[in-house]
Amino acid sequence: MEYILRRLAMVPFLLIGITIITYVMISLAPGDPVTALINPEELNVRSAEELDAIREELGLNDPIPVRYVLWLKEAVQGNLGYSYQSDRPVLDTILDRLPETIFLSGSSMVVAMLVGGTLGIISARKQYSVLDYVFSITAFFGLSVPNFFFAMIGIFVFAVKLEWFPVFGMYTPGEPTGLTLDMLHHAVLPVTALAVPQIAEYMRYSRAATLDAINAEHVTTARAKGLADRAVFRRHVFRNSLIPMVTIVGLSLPGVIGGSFIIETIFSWPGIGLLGYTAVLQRDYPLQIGIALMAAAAVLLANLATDITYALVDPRIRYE
Amino acid sequence: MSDIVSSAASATSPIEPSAAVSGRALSPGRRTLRRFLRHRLALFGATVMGIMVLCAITAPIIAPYDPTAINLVNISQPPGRDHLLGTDAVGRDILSRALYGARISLSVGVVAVAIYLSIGFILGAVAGYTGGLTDSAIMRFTDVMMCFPTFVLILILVGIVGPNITNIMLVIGLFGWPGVARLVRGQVLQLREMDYVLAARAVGGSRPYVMSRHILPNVIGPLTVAGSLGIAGAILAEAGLSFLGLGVTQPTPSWGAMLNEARNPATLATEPWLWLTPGILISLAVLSANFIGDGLRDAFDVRSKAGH
Repeated sequence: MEYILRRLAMVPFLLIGITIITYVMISLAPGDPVTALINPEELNVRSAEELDAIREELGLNDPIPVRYVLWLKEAVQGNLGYSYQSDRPVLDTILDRLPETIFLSGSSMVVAMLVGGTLGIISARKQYSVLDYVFSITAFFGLSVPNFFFAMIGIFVFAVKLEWFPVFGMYTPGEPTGLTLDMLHHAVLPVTALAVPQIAEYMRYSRAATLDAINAEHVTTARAKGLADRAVFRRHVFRNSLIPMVTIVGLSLPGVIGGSFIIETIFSWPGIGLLGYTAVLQRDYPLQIGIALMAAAAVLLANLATDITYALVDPRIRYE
Repeated sequence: MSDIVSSAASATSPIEPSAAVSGRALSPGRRTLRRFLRHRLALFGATVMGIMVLCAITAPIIAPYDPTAINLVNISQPPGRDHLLGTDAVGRDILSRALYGARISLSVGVVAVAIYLSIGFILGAVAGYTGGLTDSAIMRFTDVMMCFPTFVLILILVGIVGPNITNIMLVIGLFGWPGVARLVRGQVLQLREMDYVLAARAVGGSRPYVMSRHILPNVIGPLTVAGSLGIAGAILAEAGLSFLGLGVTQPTPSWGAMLNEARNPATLATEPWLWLTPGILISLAVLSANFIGDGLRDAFDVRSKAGH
């Protein structure tokens, strides 16, 4: 309990840190912060004098720390500025694309957890077998081959040659949108490409965790008293081997977000990754900054949730 | 934070479980096979990496064509006698571009990692050695930086400063250090209490002296491991950036940029030789760096020292 409280107490400080870094990036970006903050439709009807007045009113003539506080006040209220490109509020633009990204990244994480976790456990139960080596080396490949290269191979083999899956997009034009079979069909290749490095990560981790669990003394005792292998595994090993895997969810999120930029771009999947990539190409700084901020907040919360879950399922964890 | 966990994750080799003592009896044959294989992987990595470095250095001599020479008579040729690996959409020789590309991809990897190892070492060593408020400040800063998905930050900053080789090296170098800082700090915290370090301080050794003489040599092992795994990551990052068209720009060849040229579905489908070569090379380079890192980790036995 104390651990959880101390962990929670750190969150506001980390959030403030994140906004400071974000603000430094804003200051680095070229462009006029006034035009970035004001609704562009209003902007057209204002004179230069009026803009100067706004500049003074917004405190843009103040030193950077003061400006940071003013910006933070806006950001906390949900005003992350307006997209240069679409003239829409940054927050709305991001929230619009959120479901697509959550679906894609979330599915890849679930797939990776199930597949990687299972393979890792198998690997550990057959430690030093040929299968174990094959899995371990496969995991190296999964971590080393860039996911965009996987994606290209996937498109070439399964979309172009075999025509099992569509090459890109989220829906067949004319088909209804939403969670349809058509959408799932489009999702197979990108989800797989995004999942590959994660599967490798889960494999390594669950293998090590299972070995730790197998080598615990209570397992030796269980085996010594004559319990069948299967029963030992089910009752004494399996659950313990799952605990450390909780942490991978939080740890892998930054990689998944980074990967989604590339994978969504290749497959023209209309999520936040593609939005962010387009924003970088179009030099849409407010939108980029907004996405970075949201991504960091997501990672922070995921780590928090991970640590708390971990503390709850494993009472041995205490704050150091 | 999850630093306990992340260091455990990175310090655990997939071949060697974190529980070093296996509960099972191991036949001598199997044990030999295991050692053999582990050495084989690192050896394989070192060999492949060595060949790549050699190719990169000698590219001007061994490349059959000028990598940027446009030849409109020979566009999009499949691999054949004149062009062993084919040509691209403007008739440039893929083999030559791949050889020159090794220079870009590998040097970006090495330079970027050198930059962030230095930043990470200095911050981690200062934090661990000084302790107190300085330590807290640096480590909280590290925590904050770790919240950002590195690739996203790199992408945005490259968008701001503009894509070219120098900027790519600097930007990847600027954001890679948090993990290294944590690793070094953990080591320094332990080293700081060692008798010989205390002795060196007691006889009046200055901070820079103790750091360079007694601390640095003891963290070289873990740093080398982090460095070789980092090179793998930096090569991937450069390839990802260039693949998205935000890395090394035309006409300079880099493996990622070569993949970028084959990105549209039509080219991807009809001219696989454009992207297979650079894709395989990136994968091999990253795989080799990872194998080397893993071999070094076993050699230095980082695991037993790395904990907090």
